[in-house]
Amino acid sequence: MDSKFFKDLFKKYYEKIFDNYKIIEKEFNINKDQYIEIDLDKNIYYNVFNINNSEVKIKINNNDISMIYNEFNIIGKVKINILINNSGNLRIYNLYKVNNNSSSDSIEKIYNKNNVVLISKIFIDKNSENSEGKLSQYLLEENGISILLPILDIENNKSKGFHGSKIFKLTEKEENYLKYLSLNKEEIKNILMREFNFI
Amino acid sequence: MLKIEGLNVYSDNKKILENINLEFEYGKLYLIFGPNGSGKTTLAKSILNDESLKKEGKIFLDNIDITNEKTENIAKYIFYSFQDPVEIENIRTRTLLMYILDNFDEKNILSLGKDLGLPEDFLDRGVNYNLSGGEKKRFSLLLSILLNRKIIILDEIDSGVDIEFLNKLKYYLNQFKKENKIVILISHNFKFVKELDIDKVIILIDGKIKYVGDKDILNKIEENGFKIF
Repeated sequence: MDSKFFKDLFKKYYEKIFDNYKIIEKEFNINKDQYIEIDLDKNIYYNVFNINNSEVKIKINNNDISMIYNEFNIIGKVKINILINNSGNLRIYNLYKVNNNSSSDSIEKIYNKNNVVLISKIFIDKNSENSEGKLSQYLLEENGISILLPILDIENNKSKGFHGSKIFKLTEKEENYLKYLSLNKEEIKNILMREFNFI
Repeated sequence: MLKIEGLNVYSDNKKILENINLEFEYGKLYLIFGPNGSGKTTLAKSILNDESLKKEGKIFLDNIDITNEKTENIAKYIFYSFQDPVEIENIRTRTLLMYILDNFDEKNILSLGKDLGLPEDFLDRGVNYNLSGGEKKRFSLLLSILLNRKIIILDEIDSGVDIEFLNKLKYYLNQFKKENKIVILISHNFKFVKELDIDKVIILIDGKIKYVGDKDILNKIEENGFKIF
């Protein structure tokens, strides 16, 4: 595992500073519902999650220049809910590998106050039949720049992949309507945050 | 009392309203009537100090100058229902109501919603999201009831709706009067407004007030059009 691997993954979004970063590897074997919180520092994180018929909630916090690669090996029926809370400069790659006769329902929520590049790939190989990978992305930005790049790589024609994304933002007209109902800017922001957290 | 003095209103440097002087008293129903483009909606929005409008003149609510007050602050006392309410997919109706109501009583709200003909799941939908035009008007009426503001301005809430809703609207307009609110209805609908217990009719044409008086004027307009002014 070296920086070339990550350069190939992130391509133009890779920055030279990552060449000097330490790579921290971790493996999680998950057979029951679990909550995991990860605080990032100036490192590259390489995580492998082997998930078997469970629901996993992951919260990733970043306020520096960091990179994280998550590989999800999915067996059976799996739900993954990831909240990315970023106020730094973050590169994140999520790879969802859905095995034979398995399904993943993944939600990625990104609350971004700075810069984030998120590459999310659903991969179902040619030997994995009757499998399904679903990815829903929700973005709430606060003066940030977000680049979301979803990829569906489905090699077996008896399997399916889905992707959808939504930006949590109000138009001027929508904000105006809420002002006419006596809500100020701060209250409008709080409501939006509340709805974002509800997902 | 709501008092408007010497109001001129501009939008994109164009004068939309000229020298508007009006007084509205509690416990009364006012009809603002006039042809399309006469400035009725602009008048309503200028009371709430809409950011898109430039104003000269003064507006007082209970002797307090609200001319330059922020819209969201004025809205604590005045409810305005839009002609064409916007759909907000990202905010559920339930969440909005929990924020703006002093007391969120779900059972009561659902019961009222059902009575007004709203879909069963309206609380779980985005605000006005995927509601028909008529349903959006029903939701506006629901808001006017729940928010309980001292002044209610309903902008063409009687257009594009069925007879059942019009009957409900008639009932609530009377209720609002009994509750001593100032009720201002903006309408084009002759047939409907003639059935209402209107205290004063205000005719607005080309941004100017042409008439303030009783509702007998509506029969004359219906026979002869606005050219009588």
